[in-house]
Amino acid sequence: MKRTRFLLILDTILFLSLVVLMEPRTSLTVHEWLGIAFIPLIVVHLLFAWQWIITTLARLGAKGAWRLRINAVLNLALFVTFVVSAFSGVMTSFIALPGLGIMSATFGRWTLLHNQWTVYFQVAAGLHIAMNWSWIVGAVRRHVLARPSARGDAAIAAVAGKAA
Amino acid sequence: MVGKLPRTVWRITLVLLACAPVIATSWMLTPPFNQAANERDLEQHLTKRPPTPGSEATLRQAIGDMQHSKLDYARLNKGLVNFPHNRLLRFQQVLIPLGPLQSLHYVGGTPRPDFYRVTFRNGSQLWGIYMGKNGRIEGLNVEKTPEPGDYIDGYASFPAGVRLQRAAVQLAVLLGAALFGRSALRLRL
Repeated sequence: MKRTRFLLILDTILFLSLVVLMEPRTSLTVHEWLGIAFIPLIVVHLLFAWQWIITTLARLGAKGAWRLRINAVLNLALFVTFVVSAFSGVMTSFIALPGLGIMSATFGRWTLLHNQWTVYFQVAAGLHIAMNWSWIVGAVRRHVLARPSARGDAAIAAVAGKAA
Repeated sequence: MVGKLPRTVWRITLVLLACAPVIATSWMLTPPFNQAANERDLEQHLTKRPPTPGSEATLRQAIGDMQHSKLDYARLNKGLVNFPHNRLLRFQQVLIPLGPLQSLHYVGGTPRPDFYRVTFRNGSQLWGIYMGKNGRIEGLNVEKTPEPGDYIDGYASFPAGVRLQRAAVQLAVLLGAALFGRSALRLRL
């Protein structure tokens, strides 16, 4: 349960960060540094989802596992859009990286990529939230409201890779 | 605990390795930035509506002023009163090598700005000007290869209220996508 509590905190931070990141006009400096800090947080999120990834990959070929396949494709899309958005974002850094003495010479092209793919990433993130809605509700009910539900706990177990 | 660390390092390595082909593919699929193509694309999307009265003369005056480092700030509307000096310098850096202004040709507009093809002795540019109701300049921009300073100044010029408003829109888009996925696409674990 410590794992779920930690994931809930991590995902809340990721969600709030994402909202801020999606609007760079809030502050370009915040956008860039928060964007860089977002990358290791996503890696931690992925490490916590590792068991789900392994379980899903193992079951992809199973008969009638269409929902699992859709979820796998959605998560793959989320990963791809995140990687492109994050990398192109780092390459177009105007403040953070130049502040560290690193400057991109081809930022025009990276900017195009960043502007396009962040939109895809936002949509993919929204669909990821939709997919994990039961888990979110389950985790909030258990760890915030202290009113766990059977359905929510089943979703928590599913994300932990303990159930289908 | 000891066994967990190498396993985590191994997993992080796998994640990073998975990133490499994604980055390489996206880079290869993205065409290089092409200023001329961008301008052509913009011109194709402009509406052939009449220009705002006075916009041509105002733009002509503003370009001439910037080339001579004497932009008349009284001509700028409230939103542009803090027109960043370094932005003006960047306009000048682009304008001065182009030589004297020769002609302005109105090419169309979007709901707000009027766009002009401005021809100089050594080249041409696509300029956008948005006139306020009081006849002052509300917005001024030239289509050119963006520079870091353009973004930094551009983003900094938004008032706090607008920034909050835009962040709220992003939150709504994110939640809208989630709602769509949950109700229309019936996404579940």
